[in-house]
Amino acid sequence: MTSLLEAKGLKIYYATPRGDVRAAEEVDLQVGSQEIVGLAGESGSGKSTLALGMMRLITSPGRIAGGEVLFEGTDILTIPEERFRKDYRWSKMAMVFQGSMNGFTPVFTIGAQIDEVMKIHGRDGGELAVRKLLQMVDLDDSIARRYPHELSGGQKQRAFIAMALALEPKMLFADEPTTALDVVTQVSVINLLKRLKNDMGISILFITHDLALLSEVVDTAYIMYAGRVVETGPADVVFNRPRHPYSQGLLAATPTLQSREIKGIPGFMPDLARPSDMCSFSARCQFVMDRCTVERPGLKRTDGEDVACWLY
Amino acid sequence: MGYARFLIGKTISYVLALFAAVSLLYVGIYPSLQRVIEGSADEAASEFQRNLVKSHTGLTLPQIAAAVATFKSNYLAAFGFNQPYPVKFGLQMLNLFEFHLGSAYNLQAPDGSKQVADLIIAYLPNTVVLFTTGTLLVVAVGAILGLLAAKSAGGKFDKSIPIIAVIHSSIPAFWIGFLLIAYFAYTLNWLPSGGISSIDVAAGVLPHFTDFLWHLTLPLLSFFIVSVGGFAYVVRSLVISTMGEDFVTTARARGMTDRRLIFKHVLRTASPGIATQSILAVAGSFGGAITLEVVFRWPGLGFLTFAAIQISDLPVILGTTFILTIILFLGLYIGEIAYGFLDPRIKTGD
Amino acid sequence: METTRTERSYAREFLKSRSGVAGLAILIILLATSIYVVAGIPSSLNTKWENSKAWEGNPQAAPPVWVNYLGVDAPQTLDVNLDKFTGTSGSSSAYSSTQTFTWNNDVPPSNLVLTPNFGGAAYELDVIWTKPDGNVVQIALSFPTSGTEYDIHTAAVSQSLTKYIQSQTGTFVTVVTPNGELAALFSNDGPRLLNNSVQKGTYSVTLQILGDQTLSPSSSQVSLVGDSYGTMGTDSYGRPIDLGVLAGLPWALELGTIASVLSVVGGILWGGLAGFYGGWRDKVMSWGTLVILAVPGISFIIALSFSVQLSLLVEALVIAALSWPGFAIIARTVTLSIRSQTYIEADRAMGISSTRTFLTHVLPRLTPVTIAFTALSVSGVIIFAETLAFLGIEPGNVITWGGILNEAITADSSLHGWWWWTLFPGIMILVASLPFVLIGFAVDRIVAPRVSAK
Repeated sequence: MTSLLEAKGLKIYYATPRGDVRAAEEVDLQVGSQEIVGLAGESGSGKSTLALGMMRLITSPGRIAGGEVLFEGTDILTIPEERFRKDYRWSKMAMVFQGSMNGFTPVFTIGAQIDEVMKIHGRDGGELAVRKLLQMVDLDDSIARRYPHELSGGQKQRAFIAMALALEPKMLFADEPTTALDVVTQVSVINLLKRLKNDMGISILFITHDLALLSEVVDTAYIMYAGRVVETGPADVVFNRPRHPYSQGLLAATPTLQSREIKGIPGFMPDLARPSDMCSFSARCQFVMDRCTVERPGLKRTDGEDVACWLY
Repeated sequence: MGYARFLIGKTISYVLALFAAVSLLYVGIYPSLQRVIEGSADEAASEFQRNLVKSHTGLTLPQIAAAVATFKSNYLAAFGFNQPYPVKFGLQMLNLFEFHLGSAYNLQAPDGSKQVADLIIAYLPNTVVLFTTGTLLVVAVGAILGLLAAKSAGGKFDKSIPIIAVIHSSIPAFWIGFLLIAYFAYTLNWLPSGGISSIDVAAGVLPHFTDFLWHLTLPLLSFFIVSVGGFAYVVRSLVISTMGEDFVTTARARGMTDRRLIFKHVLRTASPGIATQSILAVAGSFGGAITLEVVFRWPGLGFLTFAAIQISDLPVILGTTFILTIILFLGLYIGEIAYGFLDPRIKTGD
Repeated sequence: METTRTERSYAREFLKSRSGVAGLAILIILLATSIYVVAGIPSSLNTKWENSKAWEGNPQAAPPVWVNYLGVDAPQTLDVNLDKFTGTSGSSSAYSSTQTFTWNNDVPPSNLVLTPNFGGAAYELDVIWTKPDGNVVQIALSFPTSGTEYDIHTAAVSQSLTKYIQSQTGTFVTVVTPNGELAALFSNDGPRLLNNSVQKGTYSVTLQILGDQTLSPSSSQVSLVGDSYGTMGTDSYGRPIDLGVLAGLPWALELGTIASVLSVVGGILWGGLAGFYGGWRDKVMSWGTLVILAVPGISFIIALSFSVQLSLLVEALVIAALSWPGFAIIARTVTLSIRSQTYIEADRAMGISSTRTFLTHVLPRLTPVTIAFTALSVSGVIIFAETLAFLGIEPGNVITWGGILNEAITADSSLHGWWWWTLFPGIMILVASLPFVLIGFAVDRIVAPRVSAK
């Protein structure tokens, strides 16, 4: 399977007075065409930064410090900004944000903003096109004339997805698209995303901290910790038999129908401004060995998936 | 619909506020106001006496004295003299709002009238011209400077804005006027040192208009210099905080150019805040603007007030204070309405 | 998780801000100067300031002394003191005292003031004026009064000098200007006396007092009034600008501090409570803010000053009463955002009284803003009060920079080119308000860190 989007050794650093905070370090990631890929991790693990990095939306003091991002085989990090803005951003790769609730400019109507995004990319736009997009996400036509604050959270998220679809992108980054929505709305948004993949053939990178949700939708899963991918493989493998102690902890921390009790992972994430040679998770790991504090494990293929842990 | 409700609500609230502010003013000027009314009554009574003597030659002295006394007591009664305080307050407030401001002790309007209302009508337009042009200029240029500074946040231009704001906050407006006069009028001889028109202007509308603009330049420039820095600083802070909002990242993700993002989305979103700040800026620069009239001998209300202070012309001072309260109030009201117009949350009645 | 920052960490951050430290340094200098002024300048100066006669000995509308370094020849005032008198007493007494001085300017002084001091009644006073070239000019005054200032405009002085001019030029002159008389005292002699250049060198002045009884002459003075004075020049009455500028400092600082503390604390409490209560009380209180905002401060105080006698305290109170709305508006906004936070809800759930919640949770969060505002507000009040003084509204018996500027514009100082008269009081307003603005901005930056790009 050839991948639509591929990150190779991607590094994203934020300059701080204490030194560079390494928000993403040597990340390899692949999204095949018409595939939903899940990316999970605690907040601060670098998953949102990664998505922003691939859309080239990292602003100062942040920067892409190395690696490449291939879209249909082209390294999009080397394209001039203006061309990238015109030809790729939103037209080939769109994004639904963690904060999409606040993603609309508050002073313009929904319709005007969807229309605007089409116009700035040289499409015709117009009322009809907006209406068609809204129908696609099961929203009423009248939404077009509303201001963002007049919509419910779920309506805003759908409207934003409609805007994301306006230019028929091949790739959609969905960064916590269901956070802050009630459960019923969460399910409908998830179903909408699935439908997009099946009906329109869109590839989706689904970012969340909620593993239960992820297991419902994705084909392939990535688990990130402290800026690095620690485990990746087919969804059923990762969710049913997680190998990495962090993945296990993360899965245990997810509430299920059987147990409402939430078990957090004790301890804190290491300081990303102080790189070291040890395994980033060693301080919180219950299986920690001598080797973990001296040498960092790389991703290793075992049993149909990749794990970065000395246990395997 | 929402906007209409907002409009009505705000109008009621503002009219009540104006009434309250003028009441406050009334309490502050109460003793002076009584003196002024009595003075006006005396003035009117002697005017009445002169006319009476001229038109009715057959009257005896006691008859004249009685008629004049009646006239005077009627005059005072119209202002609630010899009546309970609430009635007196009501009548005198009514007279204030009907612009019955009495007659000046010494000052005269260009047409020779000594009525305070006439004096104010003669001087008011010049204040309005200077103040409105100045405010519009400051708001427009200040907003652009603030936006540009915010756009290059951390850059050299951005860093100069707080410095300008610091200087602006430490210098009185009238002193800037002094400096500009010393340089542009007396050193370079480019612009007039004051006044509103030259003596030797060619006939015709255009020469008079250009002459007017020529005189307007320095006062306007002074007003601009003292106000623009602070306003730009405020706009910059508002824009920078708006730039930190989520919608800015999503707007960039949509492939929007920076120019479009800042000048359309960010500016439009920050504009209600900018409107509010304009209101405060207007209120704050008001005092400075009237002193500039003094420095530039610009025949507006500030200059009139200054002249009145010099010769203790109390009626004129009370009159101008009242009118300036109304002007400031109108400025605030317009700002509030603009705010409501710019913020869709109010327009849609949320 | 939010870490609570201690006062010490605020102070540390403040000391890191260059402008804040600069502001603090200027403020300390200003306070020290104020103490010096209060201790060193007698309060009688305020009355003396209004008495124009008291300043006649100074050059009028004279630039600062240092203009001489800028290539302008403006001599300083030179006082020639004559205190050692020798002579005979008795029924025909004569005393004299001689003093020399050096004149190296290209121009003569702007006036000459003679102040004799003696006990008893004299019938004649002579000034024997010897030029460097040896020529002698004699000025004679009949029946002089001790302690009186005789200057170039005095008729007897003028007559003596006119006589001398005639003797030199050989022509009969009727009207001689004071400038001409001074030229006669200093120029090279000859027929073109009035147009000649100034003689540089050592002059000698002898004061002779004659009487028919015993006199007791004491220290007398011949003052050569210059064309420059002090560090900041003089106004058209001869009052030294530097003295006025110094004398205005304590008043400005005191008024600024009192008024801004009152208005900021009042405004913060008002706005804070409005935002904290919410509901109808917020509506009413916000409306109250609007009422005061709609009062044009300057005009209101002008009108008020005709009903109420202004004093420092009254002026401070009135300014405070009119300038709090701005702070109330901002405090309300800040409080609204604090109110939405969870611990306020928690307090309410636990049944803690709202007054207590306001005091423990809201007020401490408003304190840093209050400090920033107070600093910024002091400069606002100083400028406001000086503006009023400039318009002629100030408490009686104080010297203010605005008042000096008011006199400057009345005297058309710009037209005459008396730049020092407007420049220095204005700079002083700037210098007095600048430290507060610098400190205010610095504190503001610390307590409200600007939103940096995420």
